[in-house]
Amino acid sequence: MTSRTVRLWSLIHKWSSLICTVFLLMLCITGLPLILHDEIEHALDTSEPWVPANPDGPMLSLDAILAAAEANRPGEVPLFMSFDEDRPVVNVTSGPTPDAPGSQMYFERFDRTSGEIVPAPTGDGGVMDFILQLHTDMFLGLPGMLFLGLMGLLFTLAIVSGVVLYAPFMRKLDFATLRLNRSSRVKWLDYHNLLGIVALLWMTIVGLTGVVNTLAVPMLEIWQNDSLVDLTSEYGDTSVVTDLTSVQSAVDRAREEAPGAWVQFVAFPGGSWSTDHHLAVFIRGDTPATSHIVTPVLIEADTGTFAAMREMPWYMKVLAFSGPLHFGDYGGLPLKIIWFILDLFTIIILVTGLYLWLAKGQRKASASQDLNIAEFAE
Amino acid sequence: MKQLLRSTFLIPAMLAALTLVGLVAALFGGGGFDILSWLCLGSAIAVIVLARIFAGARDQN
Repeated sequence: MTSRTVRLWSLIHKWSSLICTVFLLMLCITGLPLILHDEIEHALDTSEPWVPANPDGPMLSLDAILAAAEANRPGEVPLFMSFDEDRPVVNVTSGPTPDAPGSQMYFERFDRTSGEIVPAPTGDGGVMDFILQLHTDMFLGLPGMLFLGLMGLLFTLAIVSGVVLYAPFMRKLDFATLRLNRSSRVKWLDYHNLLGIVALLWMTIVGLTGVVNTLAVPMLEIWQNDSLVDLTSEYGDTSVVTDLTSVQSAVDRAREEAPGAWVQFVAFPGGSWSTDHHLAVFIRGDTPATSHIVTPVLIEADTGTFAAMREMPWYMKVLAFSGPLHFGDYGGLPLKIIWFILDLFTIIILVTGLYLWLAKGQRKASASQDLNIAEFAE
Repeated sequence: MKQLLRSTFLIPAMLAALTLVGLVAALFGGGGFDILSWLCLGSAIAVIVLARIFAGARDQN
């Protein structure tokens, strides 16, 4: 590699890092509690363990649950219905309009055996919600989300340029060299390089899946226009269906199409996960490999007849896998702890990177400019 | 071993491959796949710990 090329890559590394560092630091620091949010919420939850009202009783129909939800939030329309895996609880999300934004949605849990409201976990007083919001969009909605996605792309560029620069730095050094008794600049440079090259793929995957997650809203729009538009084109009437068929029978009908599959959630007409005329019943496979991929079964919202089962296009599958690969919540507590430690490594890489840049700036005032590889690679 | 440490990208490439296996393994199964995933991803952390121990020991001499 010529010194010219090295200089070019070091410029790329410097600027891509500098621009995204402060946001990446925020993301990594807020990410730490988010990785363990289940455990934190569980530890802070002081309420009695919940038990169903009629543990051995029959399950109420989903229509009865929906009626309970509508009585609880008069005037609102249902948006989503989802199902807890480990207890007979149905979650209903409602809002003032079928296309209500997330900030106006209302989420409530219902006991499937009684229709009663299941108390929300108590404890953190909304701190975790605040952290999640900061991490997702910095309270700026879609523009904030897309901006953080852009920072994620810069982070990826910083990683790639960092790997390119790793080669000349390490030319005369063994792998994993840490020169602890040298100047603090050399010592932290060694740490920066070692942590960076070791966590390389993890940082890239978590970074890029984070970028994909920021694109969820536009991707859903593309999916609707791309895959579902033919289902709606035959309707002359463009208004959202409000006189709904039985949700229970729609779910039963959907399960006939895919025996053995789990019902993940139901999206109501007019929202971003369905069309104006369909109930979308999202089913997922019952094997580990298929459980991350959901497939919508579309049921005519007014008549309850089967309309279509549409396999998700590739970009929606990418989105589906970007959730677990970003959150690290798919392999038990040990995986979360590994995620936590690698996140800490990333924070050290960011801070040492900033330190090295500042330290170099100080030196620059007195001596040579540009990156002096010979000096580092003694 | 010396050869392995000398090479710039051999060990990093092996670690990247292990990371990839670790990330994918837990996606496609529980139980044994999870344990495989922990071991593969844990290798990155183990390398840092070992590097620190060896560097510390060398400085003592």
